[in-house]
Amino acid sequence: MSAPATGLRQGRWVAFQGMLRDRPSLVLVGVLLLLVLAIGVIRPGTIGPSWVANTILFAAPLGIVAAGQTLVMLTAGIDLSVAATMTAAAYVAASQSYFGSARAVLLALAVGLVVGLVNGLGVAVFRVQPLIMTLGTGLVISGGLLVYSLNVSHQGPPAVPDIVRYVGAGKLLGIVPVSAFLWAAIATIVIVGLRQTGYGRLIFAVGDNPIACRLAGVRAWLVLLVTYVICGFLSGVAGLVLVGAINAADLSLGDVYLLPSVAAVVIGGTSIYGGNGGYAGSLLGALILTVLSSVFTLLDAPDPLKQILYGAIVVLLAALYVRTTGDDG
Amino acid sequence: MSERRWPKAIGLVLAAGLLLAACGGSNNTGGGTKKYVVGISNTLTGNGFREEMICSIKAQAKASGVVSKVIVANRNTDPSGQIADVRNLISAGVNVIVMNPSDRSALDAVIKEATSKGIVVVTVDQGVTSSDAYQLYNNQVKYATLGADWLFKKLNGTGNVIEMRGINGVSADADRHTGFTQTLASYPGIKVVKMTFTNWSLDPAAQQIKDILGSGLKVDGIWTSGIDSTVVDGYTTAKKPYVPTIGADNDAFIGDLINLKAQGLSGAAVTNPPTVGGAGLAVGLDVLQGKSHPHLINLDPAIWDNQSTSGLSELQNHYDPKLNAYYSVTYQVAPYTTYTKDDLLKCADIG
Repeated sequence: MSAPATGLRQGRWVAFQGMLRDRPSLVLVGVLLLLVLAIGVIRPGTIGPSWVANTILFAAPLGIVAAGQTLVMLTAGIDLSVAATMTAAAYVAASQSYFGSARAVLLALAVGLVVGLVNGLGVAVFRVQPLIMTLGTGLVISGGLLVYSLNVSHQGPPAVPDIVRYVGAGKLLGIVPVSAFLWAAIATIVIVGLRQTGYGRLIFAVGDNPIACRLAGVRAWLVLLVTYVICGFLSGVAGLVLVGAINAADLSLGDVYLLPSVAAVVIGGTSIYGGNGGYAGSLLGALILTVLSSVFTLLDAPDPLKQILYGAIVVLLAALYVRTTGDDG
Repeated sequence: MSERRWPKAIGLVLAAGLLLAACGGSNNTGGGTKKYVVGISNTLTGNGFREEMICSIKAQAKASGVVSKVIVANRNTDPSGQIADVRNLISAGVNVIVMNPSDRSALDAVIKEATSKGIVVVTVDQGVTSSDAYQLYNNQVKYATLGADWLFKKLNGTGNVIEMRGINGVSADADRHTGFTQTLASYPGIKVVKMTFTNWSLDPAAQQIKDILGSGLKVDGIWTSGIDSTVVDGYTTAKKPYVPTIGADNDAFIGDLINLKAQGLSGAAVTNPPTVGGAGLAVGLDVLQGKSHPHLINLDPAIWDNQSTSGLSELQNHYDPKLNAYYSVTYQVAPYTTYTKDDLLKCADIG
């Protein structure tokens, strides 16, 4: 091998790394395509418009809850109450539908807002560690939901309101999931909001250096409060989309979303130390995790092996991101 | 009351307390009926089955008329946490403990500790290796055998089936898999083309059925370990013709079997009553009152299919459109439970 050829190759590699650093989402898109390819190999003929539509439909609740989690993690926080909030919103919507869809949806969203407000006050005003605050709120919601379920579930037949069913599971022209539009709208608002608005920039600033923010006269507490309220609200929306997709609610419906909501954000390149990252990555992270679980359903392998592979792939993805982008989060 | 009378009053109260303690912590009411204190130990919260189980214990406590107090130790924990909970219940002076054991053998020592103090321990839903406890649970091997046999017969002994299990590593799941596999051995023409773990959660089951339906895999029948109406809903949403489906005695699935029969859904529900809790308490109270029961009571599950007249009438008798999708509709465990359905649904406590 001649020296100039090696140099050229090295130069191309450096340029490739530079491109990935500028556009880290490309790594995730590559991973996503690889996983889709894997499904094509495991079960040829599976991949098609209907498969894509179903994948988006099932990724939407995770993608929406990961939007809130991204904002919170950008502030160097974490929200461990998102799953309980999703469950509560879903359960309230199903149990209140007897009294009308509007009441059911509004109450479900109110649950999200109230939880977000409580978390926000705890973290921003009373300075409780976010992990402890939201873990505690999650337990309170679960307990409260149990009491609620014993007292209201016999007022009328539980059913998912039609509008929620339409948003969660409906498909336009029989192919495009309605939830995709909602998710796209939320994604656009979050991505543009983070880049273009003062509040968006303050989220990064507070996450990066809260002391400097305070010294610069930024009302960091207000930024945190609003962020947790948005996260709670988005968890409520995600719960509604989920109950629409599943068409039934139980007391643990959203629980399976807790760790994936954090994993999607971390795979997407948002730093757990705050101040660095964005929603585009989390969105791809949500799609990757959803496709990954499809791969494991279709793969005929022993369950323990699947669990090992799932954990290993999530760790590898997070490491791969750092290696290829040179971003140590 | 003058100051000088206080010591005498305190002495009387203490003496009364000691007398109560000597009676094993039970209280005597004015009517002369013995009143017992009941302890409940459960290690999984927010789970519909477990919550209904606890409600059935409370409802039975109320119906029995001999219970003065129910103390509930209910939290997400492991065997070591459950041992601590049971010790607390012992300290609280309970007369009977109804527990859903989190391990087959880890609780044996603490069960011995309780029974040596005269406390009656009843384990429900799952078994333990201890010979000191009374045990009452559904025969999970038979649960799977009943459903699988119905399904394989329905398919005339040939076809592709999916086995949608519960949580890998849990004894009920292992027992059910044993029953499923045993039945499968008698039907060489039946092929299990996919086995999944739903973790008894709705969302994973919904995604799995979506993936399987989308993959073009030929499926002739589905056996589920209880996440049933979600699977039926997967077929409805995908507008695919229904295949024979086996589920549990969950309200929405029972409703599907009745209401979607005309649309081509055939299937059967196998009973797995959470109300074993109430039955366990009834046994425990009987033992306290001197009645005799075998130490191991294995409940035989029933199967209600929507093809036979008798099965359909059972389904119709149990279906209640007002209940939650996954509420188990086996409200009573004969001949043990005596509460009303209303008290069970309201989770009525004594008092």
